[in-house]
Amino acid sequence: MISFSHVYKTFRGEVHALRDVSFTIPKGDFVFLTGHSGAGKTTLFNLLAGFDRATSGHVMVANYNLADLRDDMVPYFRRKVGVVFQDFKLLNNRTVQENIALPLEIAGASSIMIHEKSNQMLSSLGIADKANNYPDELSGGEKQRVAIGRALIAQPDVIIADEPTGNLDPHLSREVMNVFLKFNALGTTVFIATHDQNLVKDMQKRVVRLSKGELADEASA
Amino acid sequence: MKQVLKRYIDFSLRSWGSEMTLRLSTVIILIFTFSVTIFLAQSAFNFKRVMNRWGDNTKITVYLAEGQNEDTRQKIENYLKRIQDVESIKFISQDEAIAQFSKSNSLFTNDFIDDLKEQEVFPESFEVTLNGSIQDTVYLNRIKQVSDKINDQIGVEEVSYGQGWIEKYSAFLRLMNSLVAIIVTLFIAASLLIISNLIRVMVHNQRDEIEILELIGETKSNIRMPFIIEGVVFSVIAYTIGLLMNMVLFNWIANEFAQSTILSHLAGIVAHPELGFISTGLFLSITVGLLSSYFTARSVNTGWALATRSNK
Ligand SMILES: Nc1ncnc2c1ncn2[C@@H]1O[C@H](COP(=O)(O)OP(=O)(O)OP(=O)(O)O)[C@@H](O)[C@H]1O
Ligand SMILES: [Mg+2]
Repeated sequence: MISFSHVYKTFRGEVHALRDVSFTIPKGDFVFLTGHSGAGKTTLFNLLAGFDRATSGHVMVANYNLADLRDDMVPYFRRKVGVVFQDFKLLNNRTVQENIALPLEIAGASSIMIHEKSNQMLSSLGIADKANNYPDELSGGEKQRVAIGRALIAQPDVIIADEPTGNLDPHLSREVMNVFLKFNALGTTVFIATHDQNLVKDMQKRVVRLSKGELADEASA
Repeated sequence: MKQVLKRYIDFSLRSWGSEMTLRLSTVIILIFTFSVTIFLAQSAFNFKRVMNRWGDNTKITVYLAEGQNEDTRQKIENYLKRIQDVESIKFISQDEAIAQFSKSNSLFTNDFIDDLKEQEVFPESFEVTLNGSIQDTVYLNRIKQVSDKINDQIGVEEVSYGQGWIEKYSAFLRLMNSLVAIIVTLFIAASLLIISNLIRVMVHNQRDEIEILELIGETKSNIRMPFIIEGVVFSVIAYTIGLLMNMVLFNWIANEFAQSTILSHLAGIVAHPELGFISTGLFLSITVGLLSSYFTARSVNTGWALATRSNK
Protein backbone atom coordinates (compact mmCIF):
# COMPACT_ATOMS: atom_id res chain seq x y z
CA MET A 1 0.00 0.00 0.00
CA ILE A 2 2.78 2.39 0.96
CA SER A 3 6.33 2.02 -0.20
CA PHE A 4 9.27 4.37 0.10
CA SER A 5 12.45 3.48 -1.68
CA HIS A 6 15.65 5.49 -1.27
CA VAL A 7 13.71 8.67 -0.71
CA TYR A 8 15.58 11.94 -0.19
CA LYS A 9 14.05 15.27 0.59
CA THR A 10 16.38 18.23 0.63
CA PHE A 11 15.21 21.74 1.36
CA ARG A 12 16.86 24.93 0.28
CA GLY A 13 20.07 25.55 2.19
CA GLU A 14 21.07 21.87 2.18
CA VAL A 15 18.61 20.82 4.87
CA HIS A 16 18.33 17.07 4.45
CA ALA A 17 14.95 16.41 6.01
CA LEU A 18 14.89 12.84 4.73
CA ARG A 19 17.88 10.74 3.76
CA ASP A 20 17.70 7.41 1.97
CA VAL A 21 14.40 6.38 3.56
CA SER A 22 13.06 2.97 2.49
CA PHE A 23 10.19 1.01 4.03
CA THR A 24 6.89 -0.58 3.08
CA ILE A 25 3.55 -0.79 4.81
CA PRO A 26 1.14 -3.44 3.56
CA LYS A 27 -2.52 -2.71 3.02
CA GLY A 28 -4.57 -2.71 6.20
CA ASP A 29 -1.66 -2.20 8.57
CA PHE A 30 -1.67 0.05 11.59
CA VAL A 31 1.74 1.71 12.00
CA PHE A 32 3.23 4.40 14.21
CA LEU A 33 5.87 6.89 13.07
CA THR A 34 8.08 8.23 15.84
CA GLY A 35 11.12 10.42 16.10
CA HIS A 36 12.39 13.58 17.74
CA SER A 37 11.10 16.95 16.82
CA GLY A 38 12.67 17.82 13.49
CA ALA A 39 13.33 14.18 12.62
CA GLY A 40 11.33 14.52 9.40
CA LYS A 41 7.92 13.05 10.29
CA THR A 42 5.85 15.84 8.78
CA THR A 43 8.11 15.92 5.75
CA LEU A 44 7.58 12.20 5.23
CA PHE A 45 3.81 12.62 5.50
CA ASN A 46 3.87 15.51 3.03
CA LEU A 47 5.50 13.25 0.47
CA LEU A 48 3.17 10.39 1.26
CA ALA A 49 0.02 12.49 0.84
CA GLY A 50 1.15 14.07 -2.43
CA PHE A 51 1.58 17.52 -0.90
CA ASP A 52 5.21 17.72 -1.95
CA ARG A 53 7.56 15.79 -4.19
CA ALA A 54 10.64 13.87 -3.16
CA THR A 55 14.00 15.26 -4.25
CA SER A 56 14.92 11.75 -5.33
CA GLY A 57 13.74 8.19 -4.80
CA HIS A 58 10.33 6.61 -5.28
CA VAL A 59 7.16 6.91 -3.27
CA MET A 60 4.35 4.50 -4.10
CA VAL A 61 0.96 4.87 -2.44
CA ALA A 62 -2.15 2.89 -3.36
CA ASN A 63 -0.57 1.89 -6.66
CA TYR A 64 0.25 5.46 -7.59
CA ASN A 65 3.87 6.25 -8.29
CA LEU A 66 3.96 9.78 -6.95
CA ALA A 67 7.00 10.77 -8.98
CA ASP A 68 5.04 10.19 -12.19
CA LEU A 69 1.71 11.53 -10.99
CA ARG A 70 0.35 14.08 -13.45
CA ASP A 71 -0.58 17.45 -11.94
CA ASP A 72 -4.23 17.11 -12.88
CA MET A 73 -4.41 13.71 -11.16
CA VAL A 74 -2.99 15.01 -7.90
CA PRO A 75 -6.36 16.06 -6.39
CA TYR A 76 -7.84 12.63 -7.09
CA PHE A 77 -4.87 10.95 -5.50
CA ARG A 78 -5.15 13.18 -2.44
CA ARG A 79 -8.73 12.05 -1.91
CA LYS A 80 -7.44 8.53 -1.36
CA VAL A 81 -5.36 9.68 1.60
CA GLY A 82 -7.05 11.12 4.66
CA VAL A 83 -4.75 13.48 6.53
CA VAL A 84 -4.90 14.75 10.09
CA PHE A 85 -2.63 17.79 10.00
CA GLN A 86 -0.39 18.68 12.87
CA ASP A 87 -1.85 22.19 12.75
CA PHE A 88 -5.40 20.92 11.97
CA LYS A 89 -5.93 23.17 8.92
CA LEU A 90 -9.62 23.71 9.60
CA LEU A 91 -11.65 26.21 7.59
CA ASN A 92 -12.58 29.00 9.95
CA ASN A 93 -15.61 30.17 8.02
CA ARG A 94 -17.27 26.78 8.14
CA THR A 95 -18.96 25.08 11.04
CA VAL A 96 -17.60 21.94 12.63
CA GLN A 97 -20.07 19.82 10.72
CA GLU A 98 -19.25 21.52 7.42
CA ASN A 99 -15.55 21.05 8.05
CA ILE A 100 -15.99 17.38 8.71
CA ALA A 101 -18.22 16.97 5.67
CA LEU A 102 -15.80 18.69 3.31
CA PRO A 103 -14.24 15.60 1.70
CA LEU A 104 -17.70 14.19 0.97
CA GLU A 105 -18.74 17.48 -0.52
CA ILE A 106 -15.63 17.53 -2.69
CA ALA A 107 -16.35 14.00 -3.82
CA GLY A 108 -19.84 15.12 -4.82
CA ALA A 109 -21.84 13.07 -2.31
CA SER A 110 -25.56 13.69 -1.93
CA SER A 111 -26.62 16.03 0.83
CA ILE A 112 -28.54 13.26 2.61
CA MET A 113 -25.44 11.12 2.75
CA ILE A 114 -23.31 14.05 3.84
CA HIS A 115 -25.74 14.80 6.62
CA GLU A 116 -25.95 11.23 7.86
CA LYS A 117 -22.26 10.44 7.73
CA SER A 118 -21.16 13.68 9.34
CA ASN A 119 -23.65 13.26 12.18
CA GLN A 120 -22.34 9.77 12.76
CA MET A 121 -18.76 11.00 12.77
CA LEU A 122 -19.57 13.85 15.14
CA SER A 123 -21.00 11.50 17.72
CA SER A 124 -18.28 8.89 17.45
CA LEU A 125 -15.77 11.69 18.16
CA GLY A 126 -17.85 13.08 21.02
CA ILE A 127 -18.34 16.52 19.53
CA ALA A 128 -21.96 16.28 18.39
CA ASP A 129 -22.86 19.25 20.56
CA LYS A 130 -20.34 21.39 18.69
CA ALA A 131 -21.71 20.63 15.23
CA ASN A 132 -22.75 24.20 14.55
CA ASN A 133 -19.82 25.94 16.20
CA TYR A 134 -16.96 27.47 14.27
CA PRO A 135 -13.36 26.28 14.77
CA ASP A 136 -12.48 29.52 16.60
CA GLU A 137 -14.92 28.54 19.31
CA LEU A 138 -13.32 25.17 20.04
CA SER A 139 -10.63 23.97 22.41
CA GLY A 140 -7.43 22.47 21.03
CA GLY A 141 -8.65 18.95 21.66
CA GLU A 142 -11.97 19.62 19.99
CA LYS A 143 -10.26 21.06 16.93
CA GLN A 144 -8.07 18.01 16.79
CA ARG A 145 -11.11 15.76 16.75
CA VAL A 146 -12.69 17.80 13.96
CA ALA A 147 -9.49 17.35 11.96
CA ILE A 148 -9.64 13.62 12.59
CA GLY A 149 -13.27 13.45 11.57
CA ARG A 150 -12.53 15.23 8.32
CA ALA A 151 -9.66 12.85 7.54
CA LEU A 152 -11.77 9.77 8.14
CA ILE A 153 -15.19 10.60 6.82
CA ALA A 154 -14.70 9.68 3.16
CA GLN A 155 -13.17 6.32 4.12
CA PRO A 156 -9.87 6.85 2.34
CA ASP A 157 -7.53 3.98 1.50
CA VAL A 158 -4.87 5.42 3.76
CA ILE A 159 -5.09 7.59 6.83
CA ILE A 160 -2.08 9.50 8.00
CA ALA A 161 -2.27 11.46 11.20
CA ASP A 162 0.40 13.89 12.37
CA GLU A 163 0.30 14.04 16.17
CA PRO A 164 -3.45 13.37 16.35
CA THR A 165 -3.40 13.08 20.12
CA GLY A 166 -1.09 15.98 20.90
CA ASN A 167 -3.82 18.01 22.54
CA LEU A 168 -5.84 15.20 24.06
CA ASP A 169 -5.84 13.78 27.57
CA PRO A 170 -5.08 10.05 27.93
CA HIS A 171 -8.73 9.14 28.09
CA LEU A 172 -9.62 11.04 24.89
CA SER A 173 -6.48 9.69 23.23
CA ARG A 174 -7.80 6.18 23.76
CA GLU A 175 -11.18 7.14 22.38
CA VAL A 176 -9.60 8.60 19.28
CA MET A 177 -7.38 5.56 18.85
CA ASN A 178 -10.50 3.43 18.97
CA VAL A 179 -11.94 5.43 16.10
CA PHE A 180 -8.76 4.80 14.12
CA LEU A 181 -8.91 1.13 15.00
CA LYS A 182 -12.49 0.97 13.83
CA PHE A 183 -11.52 2.32 10.42
CA ASN A 184 -8.48 0.10 10.36
CA ALA A 185 -10.72 -2.90 10.90
CA LEU A 186 -12.64 -1.84 7.80
CA GLY A 187 -9.43 -2.20 5.79
CA THR A 188 -7.98 1.27 5.90
CA THR A 189 -4.22 1.54 6.29
CA VAL A 190 -3.40 3.75 9.27
CA PHE A 191 -0.11 5.58 9.78
CA ILE A 192 0.21 7.78 12.84
CA ALA A 193 3.06 10.07 13.84
CA THR A 194 3.35 10.61 17.57
CA HIS A 195 5.65 11.57 20.41
CA ASP A 196 3.51 9.75 22.90
CA GLN A 197 5.59 6.72 23.93
CA ASN A 198 2.93 5.46 26.29
CA LEU A 199 0.41 5.34 23.55
CA VAL A 200 2.80 3.47 21.29
CA LYS A 201 3.50 0.96 24.04
CA ASP A 202 -0.18 0.47 24.82
CA MET A 203 -1.20 -0.14 21.25
CA GLN A 204 1.37 -2.83 20.47
CA LYS A 205 1.63 -1.96 16.81
CA ARG A 206 4.48 -1.74 14.35
CA VAL A 207 6.68 1.35 14.72
CA VAL A 208 8.71 3.17 12.08
CA ARG A 209 11.31 5.41 13.68
CA LEU A 210 13.03 8.39 12.12
CA SER A 211 16.17 9.95 13.47
CA LYS A 212 17.53 13.11 11.88
CA GLY A 213 15.95 12.21 8.60
CA GLU A 214 17.14 8.64 8.51
CA LEU A 215 15.27 5.48 9.26
CA ALA A 216 16.33 4.03 12.62
CA ASP A 217 16.11 0.40 13.63
CA GLU A 218 12.41 -0.42 13.77
CA ALA A 219 12.65 -2.81 16.68
CA SER A 220 14.25 -0.28 18.96
CA ALA A 221 11.08 1.79 19.21
CA MET B 1 -24.30 23.52 -13.56
CA LYS B 2 -26.57 23.36 -10.54
CA GLN B 3 -23.64 22.13 -8.50
CA VAL B 4 -21.48 24.99 -9.73
CA LEU B 5 -24.12 27.56 -8.86
CA LYS B 6 -24.67 26.05 -5.44
CA ARG B 7 -20.95 26.18 -4.81
CA TYR B 8 -20.81 29.78 -5.91
CA ILE B 9 -23.70 30.81 -3.66
CA ASP B 10 -22.07 29.00 -0.74
CA PHE B 11 -18.79 30.68 -1.48
CA SER B 12 -20.43 34.04 -1.89
CA LEU B 13 -22.37 33.89 1.37
CA ARG B 14 -19.46 32.50 3.32
CA SER B 15 -17.09 35.22 2.25
CA TRP B 16 -19.69 37.97 2.25
CA GLY B 17 -18.88 39.36 5.66
CA SER B 18 -15.13 39.44 5.28
CA GLU B 19 -15.15 40.81 1.74
CA MET B 20 -18.11 43.15 2.03
CA THR B 21 -16.21 46.43 1.84
CA LEU B 22 -14.08 45.23 -1.02
CA ARG B 23 -17.09 43.96 -2.93
CA LEU B 24 -19.17 47.05 -2.36
CA SER B 25 -16.42 49.43 -3.36
CA THR B 26 -15.66 47.36 -6.43
CA VAL B 27 -19.26 47.24 -7.53
CA ILE B 28 -19.65 50.99 -7.04
CA ILE B 29 -16.57 51.77 -9.13
CA LEU B 30 -17.70 49.27 -11.75
CA ILE B 31 -21.16 50.79 -11.89
CA PHE B 32 -19.54 54.17 -12.43
CA THR B 33 -17.28 53.00 -15.27
CA PHE B 34 -20.03 50.98 -16.92
CA SER B 35 -22.53 53.84 -16.65
CA VAL B 36 -20.16 56.30 -18.28
CA THR B 37 -19.33 53.79 -20.99
CA ILE B 38 -22.98 53.04 -21.67
CA PHE B 39 -23.80 56.74 -21.59
CA LEU B 40 -21.16 57.56 -24.20
CA ALA B 41 -22.08 54.69 -26.47
CA GLN B 42 -25.79 55.40 -26.14
CA SER B 43 -25.22 59.11 -26.81
CA ALA B 44 -23.25 58.34 -29.95
CA PHE B 45 -25.98 56.02 -31.16
CA ASN B 46 -28.71 58.51 -30.41
CA PHE B 47 -26.80 61.26 -32.12
CA LYS B 48 -26.56 59.21 -35.28
CA ARG B 49 -30.21 58.29 -35.13
CA VAL B 50 -31.17 61.92 -34.74
CA MET B 51 -28.97 62.90 -37.65
CA ASN B 52 -30.52 60.20 -39.78
CA ARG B 53 -33.95 61.49 -38.97
CA TRP B 54 -32.95 65.03 -39.80
CA GLY B 55 -30.69 64.27 -42.70
CA ASP B 56 -33.43 62.30 -44.45
CA ASN B 57 -32.52 62.14 -48.09
CA THR B 58 -29.48 63.83 -49.48
CA LYS B 59 -30.07 66.42 -52.17
CA ILE B 60 -27.64 67.42 -54.87
CA THR B 61 -28.26 70.59 -56.80
CA VAL B 62 -26.95 70.61 -60.35
CA TYR B 63 -26.68 74.21 -61.60
CA LEU B 64 -26.79 74.59 -65.34
CA ALA B 65 -24.58 76.94 -67.27
CA GLU B 66 -26.27 80.04 -68.64
CA GLY B 67 -28.36 79.83 -71.77
CA GLN B 68 -28.66 76.08 -72.29
CA ASN B 69 -31.03 74.83 -74.93
CA GLU B 70 -33.75 72.26 -74.36
CA ASP B 71 -31.58 69.54 -75.89
CA THR B 72 -28.64 69.78 -73.51
CA ARG B 73 -31.02 70.04 -70.62
CA GLN B 74 -32.71 66.82 -71.70
CA LYS B 75 -29.35 65.11 -72.08
CA ILE B 76 -28.32 66.10 -68.59
CA GLU B 77 -31.60 64.94 -67.18
CA ASN B 78 -31.24 61.57 -68.89
CA TYR B 79 -27.75 61.26 -67.57
CA LEU B 80 -28.91 61.99 -64.05
CA LYS B 81 -31.69 59.45 -64.33
CA ARG B 82 -29.22 56.70 -65.10
CA ILE B 83 -27.21 57.27 -61.96
CA GLN B 84 -27.69 54.63 -59.30
CA ASP B 85 -29.32 55.72 -56.04
CA VAL B 86 -31.12 58.63 -57.65
CA GLU B 87 -34.58 58.73 -56.25
CA SER B 88 -36.04 61.72 -58.02
CA ILE B 89 -35.07 64.61 -60.23
CA LYS B 90 -36.79 67.93 -60.24
CA PHE B 91 -36.14 70.73 -62.69
CA ILE B 92 -36.15 74.20 -61.19
CA SER B 93 -36.43 77.06 -63.62
CA GLN B 94 -35.11 80.53 -62.94
CA ASP B 95 -38.52 81.80 -61.97
CA GLU B 96 -39.15 78.98 -59.60
CA ALA B 97 -35.78 79.52 -58.00
CA ILE B 98 -36.58 83.14 -57.41
CA ALA B 99 -40.01 82.31 -56.10
CA GLN B 100 -38.52 79.84 -53.66
CA PHE B 101 -35.96 82.32 -52.54
CA SER B 102 -38.37 85.11 -51.95
CA LYS B 103 -40.69 82.78 -50.09
CA SER B 104 -38.05 81.71 -47.69
CA ASN B 105 -36.59 85.18 -47.38
CA SER B 106 -39.65 87.32 -46.97
CA LEU B 107 -37.58 89.95 -45.28
CA PHE B 108 -36.18 91.15 -48.56
CA THR B 109 -38.07 93.75 -50.50
CA ASN B 110 -39.47 93.08 -53.90
CA ASP B 111 -37.09 95.62 -55.37
CA PHE B 112 -34.11 93.68 -54.15
CA ILE B 113 -35.47 90.48 -55.61
CA ASP B 114 -36.20 92.08 -58.95
CA ASP B 115 -32.64 93.24 -58.89
CA LEU B 116 -31.41 89.70 -58.45
CA LYS B 117 -33.62 88.54 -61.27
CA GLU B 118 -32.10 91.01 -63.65
CA GLN B 119 -28.58 90.03 -62.79
CA GLU B 120 -29.50 86.40 -63.36
CA VAL B 121 -28.13 85.35 -59.99
CA PHE B 122 -30.41 82.33 -60.02
CA PRO B 123 -29.43 79.86 -62.66
CA GLU B 124 -31.60 76.97 -63.77
CA SER B 125 -30.97 73.77 -61.86
CA PHE B 126 -31.87 70.14 -61.28
CA GLU B 127 -32.60 69.09 -57.77
CA VAL B 128 -31.46 65.47 -57.47
CA THR B 129 -32.62 63.49 -54.47
CA LEU B 130 -30.57 60.48 -53.53
CA ASN B 131 -31.60 57.44 -51.56
CA GLY B 132 -30.41 57.37 -47.97
CA SER B 133 -28.69 59.96 -45.89
CA ILE B 134 -25.16 60.67 -44.85
CA GLN B 135 -24.18 58.33 -42.06
CA ASP B 136 -20.69 57.41 -42.89
CA THR B 137 -17.70 58.29 -44.99
CA VAL B 138 -18.41 55.57 -47.53
CA TYR B 139 -21.64 57.27 -48.43
CA LEU B 140 -19.95 60.63 -48.43
CA ASN B 141 -17.32 59.43 -50.89
CA ARG B 142 -20.02 58.06 -53.12
CA ILE B 143 -21.72 61.45 -53.22
CA LYS B 144 -18.42 63.09 -54.06
CA GLN B 145 -17.83 60.69 -56.96
CA VAL B 146 -21.33 61.15 -58.34
CA SER B 147 -21.01 64.90 -58.08
CA ASP B 148 -17.66 64.95 -59.85
CA LYS B 149 -19.07 62.90 -62.72
CA ILE B 150 -22.07 65.17 -63.07
CA ASN B 151 -19.75 68.12 -63.02
CA ASP B 152 -17.95 66.78 -66.07
CA GLN B 153 -21.15 66.82 -68.16
CA ILE B 154 -21.47 69.49 -70.83
CA GLY B 155 -23.75 72.29 -69.77
CA VAL B 156 -23.26 71.79 -66.06
CA GLU B 157 -21.94 74.84 -64.30
CA GLU B 158 -21.60 73.59 -60.79
CA VAL B 159 -22.70 70.77 -58.52
CA SER B 160 -23.54 71.50 -54.97
CA TYR B 161 -24.23 69.01 -52.23
CA GLY B 162 -23.54 71.30 -49.35
CA GLN B 163 -19.85 70.38 -49.51
CA GLY B 164 -18.90 72.59 -46.64
CA TRP B 165 -21.21 71.31 -43.98
CA ILE B 166 -21.29 67.72 -45.14
CA GLU B 167 -17.56 67.46 -44.90
CA LYS B 168 -17.50 69.15 -41.55
CA TYR B 169 -20.28 66.88 -40.38
CA SER B 170 -18.50 63.78 -41.53
CA ALA B 171 -15.26 64.90 -39.95
CA PHE B 172 -17.18 65.51 -36.78
CA LEU B 173 -18.74 62.06 -37.01
CA ARG B 174 -15.34 60.49 -37.45
CA LEU B 175 -13.93 62.39 -34.52
CA MET B 176 -16.89 61.50 -32.34
CA ASN B 177 -16.70 57.84 -33.30
CA SER B 178 -13.01 57.52 -32.57
CA LEU B 179 -13.32 59.50 -29.36
CA VAL B 180 -16.13 57.27 -28.14
CA ALA B 181 -14.20 54.20 -29.25
CA ILE B 182 -11.10 55.32 -27.36
CA ILE B 183 -12.97 56.21 -24.20
CA VAL B 184 -15.00 53.01 -24.27
CA THR B 185 -11.82 50.99 -24.76
CA LEU B 186 -10.18 52.79 -21.86
CA PHE B 187 -13.14 52.16 -19.63
CA ILE B 188 -13.27 48.51 -20.62
CA ALA B 189 -9.57 48.21 -19.83
CA ALA B 190 -10.23 49.91 -16.50
CA SER B 191 -13.03 47.49 -15.65
CA LEU B 192 -10.78 44.58 -16.56
CA LEU B 193 -8.26 45.86 -14.03
CA ILE B 194 -10.89 46.59 -11.40
CA ILE B 195 -12.39 43.11 -11.60
CA SER B 196 -8.98 41.51 -11.78
CA ASN B 197 -8.03 43.40 -8.65
CA LEU B 198 -11.16 42.26 -6.83
CA ILE B 199 -10.38 38.64 -7.64
CA ARG B 200 -6.73 39.04 -6.75
CA VAL B 201 -7.51 40.48 -3.33
CA MET B 202 -10.20 37.89 -2.65
CA VAL B 203 -7.86 35.09 -3.58
CA HIS B 204 -5.18 36.62 -1.41
CA ASN B 205 -7.53 36.87 1.57
CA GLN B 206 -8.59 33.27 1.12
CA ARG B 207 -5.16 31.88 0.48
CA ASP B 208 -5.19 29.58 3.52
CA GLU B 209 -8.58 28.28 2.62
CA ILE B 210 -7.56 27.62 -0.97
CA GLU B 211 -4.52 25.74 0.23
CA ILE B 212 -6.56 23.59 2.58
CA LEU B 213 -9.02 22.75 -0.19
CA GLU B 214 -6.11 21.81 -2.43
CA LEU B 215 -4.71 19.52 0.26
CA ILE B 216 -8.00 17.76 0.79
CA GLY B 217 -8.24 16.99 -2.90
CA GLU B 218 -10.39 19.69 -4.42
CA THR B 219 -9.60 20.19 -8.09
CA LYS B 220 -8.03 23.35 -9.40
CA SER B 221 -11.00 24.17 -11.57
CA ASN B 222 -13.47 23.76 -8.70
CA ILE B 223 -11.38 26.04 -6.53
CA ARG B 224 -11.19 28.69 -9.22
CA MET B 225 -14.75 28.44 -10.42
CA PRO B 226 -16.38 30.58 -7.70
CA PHE B 227 -13.79 33.32 -8.23
CA ILE B 228 -14.40 33.30 -11.97
CA ILE B 229 -18.17 33.39 -11.49
CA GLU B 230 -17.68 36.20 -9.00
CA GLY B 231 -16.02 38.31 -11.70
CA VAL B 232 -18.83 37.65 -14.16
CA VAL B 233 -21.55 38.25 -11.59
CA PHE B 234 -20.07 41.57 -10.52
CA SER B 235 -19.58 42.67 -14.09
CA VAL B 236 -23.16 41.80 -15.01
CA ILE B 237 -24.57 43.41 -11.86
CA ALA B 238 -22.67 46.62 -12.61
CA TYR B 239 -23.76 46.54 -16.23
CA THR B 240 -27.41 46.00 -15.35
CA ILE B 241 -27.43 48.84 -12.84
CA GLY B 242 -25.49 51.07 -15.23
CA LEU B 243 -27.92 50.30 -18.03
CA LEU B 244 -30.96 50.98 -15.84
CA MET B 245 -29.47 54.28 -14.70
CA ASN B 246 -28.86 55.27 -18.31
CA MET B 247 -32.38 54.24 -19.32
CA VAL B 248 -33.76 56.48 -16.60
CA LEU B 249 -31.51 59.31 -17.70
CA PHE B 250 -32.37 59.02 -21.39
CA ASN B 251 -36.03 58.70 -20.54
CA TRP B 252 -35.74 61.96 -18.70
CA ILE B 253 -33.97 63.59 -21.66
CA ALA B 254 -36.69 62.24 -23.95
CA ASN B 255 -39.34 63.75 -21.72
CA GLU B 256 -37.59 67.10 -21.85
CA PHE B 257 -37.52 66.78 -25.64
CA ALA B 258 -41.17 65.86 -25.75
CA GLN B 259 -42.07 69.06 -23.98
CA SER B 260 -40.10 71.19 -26.42
CA THR B 261 -41.93 72.11 -29.61
CA ILE B 262 -38.94 71.81 -31.92
CA LEU B 263 -37.48 68.60 -30.54
CA SER B 264 -40.61 66.66 -29.67
CA HIS B 265 -40.29 64.33 -32.67
CA LEU B 266 -36.92 63.19 -31.34
CA ALA B 267 -38.30 62.00 -28.02
CA GLY B 268 -39.07 58.52 -29.30
CA ILE B 269 -35.63 58.15 -30.85
CA VAL B 270 -33.73 59.12 -27.74
CA ALA B 271 -35.78 57.20 -25.22
CA HIS B 272 -34.95 53.53 -25.68
CA PRO B 273 -31.75 51.64 -26.33
CA GLU B 274 -32.11 49.02 -29.03
CA LEU B 275 -32.16 45.34 -28.12
CA GLY B 276 -28.95 44.91 -30.09
CA PHE B 277 -27.30 47.59 -28.01
CA ILE B 278 -28.43 45.97 -24.75
CA SER B 279 -27.32 42.49 -25.74
CA THR B 280 -23.99 43.68 -27.11
CA GLY B 281 -23.40 45.42 -23.79
CA LEU B 282 -24.38 42.31 -21.87
CA PHE B 283 -22.08 40.20 -23.98
CA LEU B 284 -19.25 42.66 -23.45
CA SER B 285 -19.77 42.80 -19.70
CA ILE B 286 -19.80 39.01 -19.43
CA THR B 287 -16.66 38.83 -21.53
CA VAL B 288 -14.93 41.48 -19.46
CA GLY B 289 -15.85 39.73 -16.21
CA LEU B 290 -14.90 36.33 -17.51
CA LEU B 291 -11.58 37.32 -19.02
CA SER B 292 -10.32 39.31 -16.07
CA SER B 293 -11.39 36.85 -13.40
CA TYR B 294 -10.33 33.81 -15.40
CA PHE B 295 -6.83 35.03 -16.00
CA THR B 296 -6.46 36.32 -12.46
CA ALA B 297 -7.79 33.17 -10.83
CA ARG B 298 -5.81 30.95 -13.17
CA SER B 299 -2.48 32.20 -12.00
CA VAL B 300 -3.20 32.06 -8.30
CA ASN B 301 -3.64 28.41 -7.51
CA THR B 302 -1.38 25.75 -8.85
CA GLY B 303 -2.45 22.83 -6.71
CA TRP B 304 1.00 22.83 -5.15
CA ALA B 305 0.78 25.78 -2.79
CA LEU B 306 2.31 23.91 0.11
CA ALA B 307 5.10 22.43 -1.95
CA THR B 308 5.88 25.71 -3.66
CA ARG B 309 6.08 27.47 -0.35
CA SER B 310 8.25 24.87 1.35
CA ASN B 311 10.65 24.43 -1.56
CA LYS B 312 11.36 28.04 -2.36
N1 LIG C 1 9.82 24.07 4.21
C1 LIG C 1 10.99 23.78 4.79
N2 LIG C 1 12.09 24.45 4.46
C2 LIG C 1 13.27 24.17 5.04
N3 LIG C 1 13.42 23.26 5.96
C3 LIG C 1 12.34 22.54 6.35
C4 LIG C 1 11.07 22.78 5.78
N4 LIG C 1 10.18 21.93 6.37
C5 LIG C 1 10.88 21.22 7.26
N5 LIG C 1 12.17 21.58 7.24
C6 LIG C 1 13.23 21.00 8.07
O1 LIG C 1 13.21 19.61 7.87
C7 LIG C 1 13.42 18.94 9.12
C8 LIG C 1 12.26 17.99 9.39
O2 LIG C 1 11.09 18.76 9.66
P1 LIG C 1 9.70 18.08 9.98
O3 LIG C 1 8.69 19.13 10.04
O4 LIG C 1 9.50 16.99 9.02
O5 LIG C 1 9.96 17.49 11.42
P2 LIG C 1 8.96 16.68 12.37
O6 LIG C 1 9.57 15.35 12.59
O7 LIG C 1 7.61 16.73 11.83
O8 LIG C 1 9.06 17.51 13.72
P3 LIG C 1 7.91 17.78 14.81
O9 LIG C 1 7.84 16.56 15.65
O10 LIG C 1 8.42 18.94 15.58
O11 LIG C 1 6.67 18.07 14.09
C9 LIG C 1 13.59 20.02 10.16
O12 LIG C 1 14.96 20.22 10.38
C10 LIG C 1 12.98 21.22 9.54
O13 LIG C 1 13.60 22.39 9.98
MG1 LIG D 1 5.87 17.55 12.43
